[in-house]
Amino acid sequence: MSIEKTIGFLRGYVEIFADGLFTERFLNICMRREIYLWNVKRRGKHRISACISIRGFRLLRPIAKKTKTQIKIVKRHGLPFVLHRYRHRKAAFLGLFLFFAVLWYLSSHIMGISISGNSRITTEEIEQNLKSFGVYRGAPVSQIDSETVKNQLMISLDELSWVGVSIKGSRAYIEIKERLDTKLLEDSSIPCDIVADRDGTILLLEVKDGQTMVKVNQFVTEGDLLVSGLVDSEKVGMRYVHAFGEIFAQTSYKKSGEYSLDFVEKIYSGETKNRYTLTALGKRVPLFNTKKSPFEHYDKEEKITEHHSPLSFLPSVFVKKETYTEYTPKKKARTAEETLAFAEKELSALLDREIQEDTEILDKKVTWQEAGDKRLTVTVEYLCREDIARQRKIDKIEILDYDKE
Amino acid sequence: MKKRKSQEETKPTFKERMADGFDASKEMILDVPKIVFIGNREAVIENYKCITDYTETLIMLDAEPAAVRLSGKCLEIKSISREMLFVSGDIEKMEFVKGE
Repeated sequence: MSIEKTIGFLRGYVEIFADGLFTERFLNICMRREIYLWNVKRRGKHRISACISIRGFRLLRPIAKKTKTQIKIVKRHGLPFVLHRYRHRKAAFLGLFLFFAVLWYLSSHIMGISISGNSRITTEEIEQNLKSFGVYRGAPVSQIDSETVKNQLMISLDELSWVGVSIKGSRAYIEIKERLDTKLLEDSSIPCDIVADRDGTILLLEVKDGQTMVKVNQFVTEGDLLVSGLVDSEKVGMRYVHAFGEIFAQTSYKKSGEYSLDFVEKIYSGETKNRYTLTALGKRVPLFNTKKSPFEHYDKEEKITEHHSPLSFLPSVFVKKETYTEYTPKKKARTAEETLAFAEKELSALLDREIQEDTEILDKKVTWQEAGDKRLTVTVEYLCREDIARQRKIDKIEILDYDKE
Repeated sequence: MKKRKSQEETKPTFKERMADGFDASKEMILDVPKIVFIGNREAVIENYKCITDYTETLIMLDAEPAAVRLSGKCLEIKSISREMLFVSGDIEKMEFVKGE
């Protein structure tokens, strides 16, 4: 449909028959009075048909009287007549209005946030930060400046090296690149010290640049200066260097926990039940009809997934899946050895997660003591050998005036 | 030579020369119609005075210095306004009729 036709439809027009002996005169007067006519057709000796706008039609009566022409409406076209026909259908108008209002709301507010590229920083943390900068589900898109959000994110989250913020339709896409390693400074021209990353006893020093401040077998605590970036030499005098090297130390990791000789064994019956809850625009819709727990004894697992349609203006729907697994508890007693073995396994698993990948485990110690009433306190200690060097930028550089001497 | 000169009697008038000089819309300055044909299907007539006759086969327009007569078949006025008249149909002939 062409623009002219669309405008014609919106403003409305009528098709008329004009009967009379002086139709030419009628046309001429219309023309003089700037009444626009179109599709003028001869329909017989004394009759012409034409199209005329609603406004023009109102001005037609005096002309018709003057030229003794009879005007007859043949057909009405356009929106004003349609609206007039449906003027009593208030609910339909309300629905139409609501439709556009909802459409406007959905297309001008953030309906979903997609965060990608983060591994160490949690999505929740980023979302919380974004919320404080005005990017949240339901926020008006027009008030978000992606450049500002980008800068604010970079300032508030230390571990970021790059952030991309783009808003497409009503969905915000946050792309994140995390800083690779905070221990090492990338630019080797920046003067820095080496400090201890953990408590430990120094085993081996491999200093490639800088003034070593500690000795082998010395105990250092976290934050201690190991290698100074300020070097004094006879030839050049004092100068700042980018201290680097590897400092291996014996470190220890400890975890302890209390374990009872009586324990409850879970015997799973194999029965599971899923319950789903939908969340959209902050409204929760549970898809189950009971408040009771499905089993007397159960393990509960929650998983939330986000679903969104390719139409980005539609809000995301979050589906929370709760899985209930039934078990029957059975009280059992175990010996101290069994308890110890169980405790060691559990605590070791926790420690394994804590230590760095390239850390070498030298020794593993398990100690325990009774804590009264059939209870044991078990401690697992790892003795490790690892690189504890961490570079720290020297912030304030004093001007060294060795040139004077 | 004399004979030839009498054949070229329609010398450009002062007004025409002035309009040429101005390089503006000539039909407005001279107050004559401007007629544009698209094949024989459509015609746009600008700067006419009024319609004197309108049937399916004939459209007469009053204009200066001569009336315009369009004849053909199934003629209809696509649109009509003060400035221009848009005629469509099967146009067979166009004439200038002086002094009617």
